[in-house]
Amino acid sequence: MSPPLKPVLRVLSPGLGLTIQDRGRPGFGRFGVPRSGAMDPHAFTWANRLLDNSPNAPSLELLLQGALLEVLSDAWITVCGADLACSVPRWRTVRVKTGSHIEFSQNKSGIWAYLAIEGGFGNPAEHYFGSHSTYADAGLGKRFEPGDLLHGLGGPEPRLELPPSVASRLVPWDEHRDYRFPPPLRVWPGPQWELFSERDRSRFFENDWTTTSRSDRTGYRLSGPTLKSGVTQILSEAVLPGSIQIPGVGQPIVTMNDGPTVGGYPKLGLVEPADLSWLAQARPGTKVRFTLAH
Amino acid sequence: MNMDSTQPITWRRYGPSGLIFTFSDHAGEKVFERLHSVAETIENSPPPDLVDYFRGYTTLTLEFSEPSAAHLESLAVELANAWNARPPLESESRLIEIPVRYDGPDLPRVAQHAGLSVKEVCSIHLSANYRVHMIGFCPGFPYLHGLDPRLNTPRLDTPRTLVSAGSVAIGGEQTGIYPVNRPGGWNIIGHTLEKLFHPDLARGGNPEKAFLLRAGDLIRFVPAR
Repeated sequence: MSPPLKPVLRVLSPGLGLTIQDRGRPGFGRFGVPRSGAMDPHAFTWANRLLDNSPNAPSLELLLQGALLEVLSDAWITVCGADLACSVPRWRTVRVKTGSHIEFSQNKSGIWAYLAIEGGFGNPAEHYFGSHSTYADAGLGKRFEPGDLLHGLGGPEPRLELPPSVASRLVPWDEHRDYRFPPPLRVWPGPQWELFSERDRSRFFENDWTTTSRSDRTGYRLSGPTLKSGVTQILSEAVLPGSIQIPGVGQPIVTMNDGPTVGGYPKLGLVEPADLSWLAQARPGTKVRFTLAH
Repeated sequence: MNMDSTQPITWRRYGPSGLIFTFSDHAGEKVFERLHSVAETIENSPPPDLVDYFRGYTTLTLEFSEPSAAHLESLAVELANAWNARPPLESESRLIEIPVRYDGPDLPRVAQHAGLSVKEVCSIHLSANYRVHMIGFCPGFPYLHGLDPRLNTPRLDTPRTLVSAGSVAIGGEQTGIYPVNRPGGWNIIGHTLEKLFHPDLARGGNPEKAFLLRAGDLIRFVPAR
């Protein structure tokens, strides 16, 4: 018997976007199911690691600002990722008390923040294709609304026990990221690399690209010099997250976790998976540069 | 052996752990049948460390948990053998009827582009069998082959921000059915009440059940009552 579901938080406001994400559901590409999962696996992983959670424990993913949550039961939590002026400190374990509020009032840097709890969030009835990740467009989970209850998957008892002299557990300083200044992102040549002239390939690597507001969990649009592949459509084939697609207008779209699994735009490259979380956290207007991976 | 059956397959890297195999330079029913048998080989005996695989019109893309070079040589040989073995498409392709009501907003546009009446467009669209070449783009979306070339219609210049689930549409030389609400640029000619994707069935251990269609199926549109 699984333990009864325990509501641990109440959504007073979801802000600009509140979903549950884990490491996603790879393995269903042939059915057109995107892998979904946390946009910033780096912050997601630290949020769970501090709590001794399983690395795949579902956490809350918060977009930009505005979320307000009420604590329904004392718990250890962590908040990692974007600086959303959260009312509890980031990158460390925090004990929250019943009746208190957790607020994400203002976006200061980055885009996505992760709130993890002991044992993870989720509802076994919302476990699709082996994952708790919300993909609301297809009815896999939902975007949360005011009044919704968020349940913990863990048992009723707190599990995290710190030694008496230790108040909190912290992410090492050098793992805190300043999302305003991403390092050059490594890029692997994509399947249609050869369709682009040497000149356009050089331009891609030698110029700054600016992230735009036309970006979401399906893809990030970049603005910069115009690139031409010589073809506007290829026969539809797989599109992996991180793919740098160049549609006819010549401005890149980087496919993200909820993006289409198949597409017909030429793909110049693929952002190294370990670097994609930097792009995910780059707010509109952030300058990014790419460097050839090898 | 005839040269046509031994067209070399090519492969390219797709990131640190992906490989994309191309089997032909053109799409079509014959290419599909052989690609289908290669995909079944992958399905029945997945190579070690395979995380996911994706079908295309002329390609198969394999994604591994480890850098992809390890099994490349033997994998390429195995896929080439499957391609060249050319077993017939499983004789019992399912034939699935999809009831459609031809009431889409772009029906006049398609008719005008084809120089036909709306009635003729419907009857041409109804008269063919279509092969599901792949499922992709979004959950359960069928890429259908077999559209009468007279109905080829360019995509809308400005995609709609929302195409509702069940919309039957034409994009270029393809026709398809939107399984879920999506933005989209195809010409909507009608709608079906059939559900192509059932999220409720995505919870068990049998993911195939969540999808009405799979690659290889034949479908036929019939007038909705």
